[in-house]
Amino acid sequence: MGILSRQEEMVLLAVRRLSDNAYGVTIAEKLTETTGRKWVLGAVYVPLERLEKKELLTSYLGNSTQKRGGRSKRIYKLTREGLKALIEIKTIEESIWKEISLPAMEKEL
Amino acid sequence: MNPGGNYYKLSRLSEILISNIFRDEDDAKLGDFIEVYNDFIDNKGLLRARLWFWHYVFISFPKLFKDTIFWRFSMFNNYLKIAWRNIKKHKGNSLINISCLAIGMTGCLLIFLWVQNEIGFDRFHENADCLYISETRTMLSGREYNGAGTPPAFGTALKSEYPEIKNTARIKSGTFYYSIQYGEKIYRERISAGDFSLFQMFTFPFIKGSLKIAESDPNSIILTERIAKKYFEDEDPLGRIFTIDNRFSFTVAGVIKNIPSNSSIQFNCIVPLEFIDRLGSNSEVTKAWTNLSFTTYVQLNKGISPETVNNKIKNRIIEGNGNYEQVNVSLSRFSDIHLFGIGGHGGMFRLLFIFGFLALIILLIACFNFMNLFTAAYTYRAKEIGLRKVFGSSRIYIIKQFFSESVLLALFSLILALILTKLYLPVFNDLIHRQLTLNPAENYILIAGSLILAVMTGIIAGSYPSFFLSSFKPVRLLRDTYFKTTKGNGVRKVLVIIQFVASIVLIISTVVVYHQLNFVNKLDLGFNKNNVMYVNLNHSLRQKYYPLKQEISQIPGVLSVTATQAHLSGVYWNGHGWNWKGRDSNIDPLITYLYVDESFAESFKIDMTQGEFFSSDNQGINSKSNGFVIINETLKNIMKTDNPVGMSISGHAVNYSIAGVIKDFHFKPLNNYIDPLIIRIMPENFNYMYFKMNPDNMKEARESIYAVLKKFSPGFPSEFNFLDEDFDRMYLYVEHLGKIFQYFAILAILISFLGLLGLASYITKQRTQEIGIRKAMGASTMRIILLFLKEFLKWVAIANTIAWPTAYLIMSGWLQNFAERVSLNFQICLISGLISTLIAFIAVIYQVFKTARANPVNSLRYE
Repeated sequence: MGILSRQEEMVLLAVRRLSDNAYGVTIAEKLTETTGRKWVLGAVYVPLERLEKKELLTSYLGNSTQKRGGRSKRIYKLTREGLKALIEIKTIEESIWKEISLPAMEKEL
Repeated sequence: MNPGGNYYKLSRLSEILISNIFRDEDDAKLGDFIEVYNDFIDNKGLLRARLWFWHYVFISFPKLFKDTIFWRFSMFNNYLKIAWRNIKKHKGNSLINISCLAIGMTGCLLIFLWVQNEIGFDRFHENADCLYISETRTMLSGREYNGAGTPPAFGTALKSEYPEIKNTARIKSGTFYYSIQYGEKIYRERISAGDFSLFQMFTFPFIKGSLKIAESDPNSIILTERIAKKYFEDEDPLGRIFTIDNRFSFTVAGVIKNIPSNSSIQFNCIVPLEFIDRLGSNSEVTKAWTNLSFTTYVQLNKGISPETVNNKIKNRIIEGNGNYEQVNVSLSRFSDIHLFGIGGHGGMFRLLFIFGFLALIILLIACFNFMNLFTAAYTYRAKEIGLRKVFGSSRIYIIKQFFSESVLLALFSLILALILTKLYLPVFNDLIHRQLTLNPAENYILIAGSLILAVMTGIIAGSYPSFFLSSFKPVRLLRDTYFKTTKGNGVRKVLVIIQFVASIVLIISTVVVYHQLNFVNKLDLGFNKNNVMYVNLNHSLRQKYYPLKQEISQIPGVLSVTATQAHLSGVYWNGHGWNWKGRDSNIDPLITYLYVDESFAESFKIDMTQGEFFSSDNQGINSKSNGFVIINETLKNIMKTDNPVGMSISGHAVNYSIAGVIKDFHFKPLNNYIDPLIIRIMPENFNYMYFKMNPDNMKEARESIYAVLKKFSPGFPSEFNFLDEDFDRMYLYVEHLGKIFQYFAILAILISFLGLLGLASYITKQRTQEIGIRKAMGASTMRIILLFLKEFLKWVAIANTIAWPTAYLIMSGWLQNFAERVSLNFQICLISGLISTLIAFIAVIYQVFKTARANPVNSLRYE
């Protein structure tokens, strides 16, 4: 597995958390929520497409609504590879962060 | 959402804008965007949403710009750089290519400028949309004649009887020359007579004086700038008095700006129409219904369509004069007559069409050339293309590169073509008698057109090579040092043969056209016009004609003297209503009148077929001629009689007796068919006096003639004219057309030659190894040359076999237009065949010679 950028990682996570409702608008909203920074549609599309090219995500066309002017949504889903990637990341993160405690860091501040 | 529960939609424009920013295959992203937009509206209101929308679009611009324009530009730059380098690397080849295309484009440019000029004829008048000319259609003896000659009373009738008609103006047809005198200056000028309402209808602006002044005085004359300058230089011409023909006084009432060359109506100075009434014995000419010698221009009221008026006026001339019972009249758009002629004949359209077609053919030949040469040069580029492919360049990119190269070459050719056009324009102008200018600053259509032309030529010419060259597999390209391919040779051969066929057909056509035009030119007019000098008689000379003739005939060097009322190049005095015994009632031909003196037949060496010409007593006068006429053969045939001598023929209520039949001769320009003619002796109508001179001592004889003329009429101008020069000038136009055609053919031949040269060079280079081997094996240079020649000869032979029948078909079709034609003989085909073979020889020999001379070691060394 190649190195994922932070951006890509966050997008994958958002897709996971959104289950079957992960498309441009919702992913952007979720990311804005979690990171506190404003994610625009464009900022989401770039990693989405990269991830799809790397075969960590797949997509399919969903239903269309009036709200979208009749256009359908492109819904993204994690592939097996994508899931594996997340597992790997979590495993590594957990092992790295195991030693470090949050309260201890905050206390130093 | 709005209270209705619907969601807002983006406007179409906005959708397009956004799609361009997102650029995805389906609309999902656009849909996302719309969803966000609607959320925004729900949360923050329509105004904020709109602001957000435009903000978003705005900040997308830099990236958009970068993606589309900047990168495209930079890639384009790269193509250009490579293209330029390639051109420099193969200077010779590129030069040939550029020259070929440039020549083709020059032809197109010239024709374009010409067409532009011709189309713009007569369109500068303010009322151009409402201006019409009266055309007549006459059915006589089974033939339909089209013309623009109407009775003068017709114009008056039109104006008073039809409310749809706003204004009319009549102009006398034909040309009149009279002497004009102001002070010391006396010249012979062409004088036009017409209604001054002309200036209300047409746009000929006054720079001095005005129409009002001119209309207040029936003896007014209006001049053009040029004439005013000629007589008055810097003085104010208004109010000055001209003496015309020694007896009429006219006051200058106005000066108009010089009439532009793109106007069908041309005149130097104009007097009121009623002037005609004062000229001859008939003082009611301009009120009559009995002649067709006037052109009637009509201005309709705005919004009136000519069809409605045509229905009403169709029979007006017939109503006015029952003798014209076959003459129908209708209105045609004035601005159309230059292009389409009167009744569909005589317009420039056909000519322009032919030359436009020619120019196109030449351009096509040049394009074919280009294709061949471009493809040929490819040998050197095989490695380059192979490398590009290896590095991942897709076929599309290679094609794009070739296209940009060809378009670049085409643009260079365009620049060269513009220069060539500018250089050649004066000569061309002379040939077609126009003043074309190459002025890119004003002529937007020209710039746009030529750019489009260049780009399109580049694309067309580059299409075949691009697709062909990019199709090979890289391995093959890189492996062979001298990349050879038989693929594409077939197409190339076809292209060359087509080129050759076109050139040969052009050569043959040119020769035939040249011959035919020459033939028509030198067509025997039926009378001898060599060494015939003439002058315009003024009133006093006319009255003393016979004594004048007597005295001049005594001058040594003057062989004979005669006179007519109209210039022999165009006699338009004519009329209907002639009757004779046994006349078929539905035959009423238009008979032309020629008024001559007793020496006419002798001076112009025209024979009589029956009877005798008017004899004269020792003073040169035939006093009994009054009741006699002479007819020509055509009239005799119409009368359907074998012996008309002694028969009587009557017209305009006068009876005449036919004294004889004269051999047919041409008295109208460039016509094939001779009209019926009646000749009478009428000294009071003499306008032109002719002197047949002995070519040996003409100068002295001329001086003596002038002395006599001045004696009889003091102040008579010392201008002289020669009859044959007049005719030559008239035919010059036709001759020039032939010349233009020739030039074009030469152009085509040139291009083909250059093309063949390039192609020969390519083929020989391709077979350098082969030549090397042959030489090493002991073949002489000569033999090698012969070998190649044989191959090329095959191509030339094929081209010729196709070209000859094609040319034959085309030419015999064209020659149908002429009543008298040259015959298409085989000689012409042979000669053109020879020329083409010669060209091929030279091209091939030159190239092969160069290669064959080289040391075979060099060509064989690098395998």
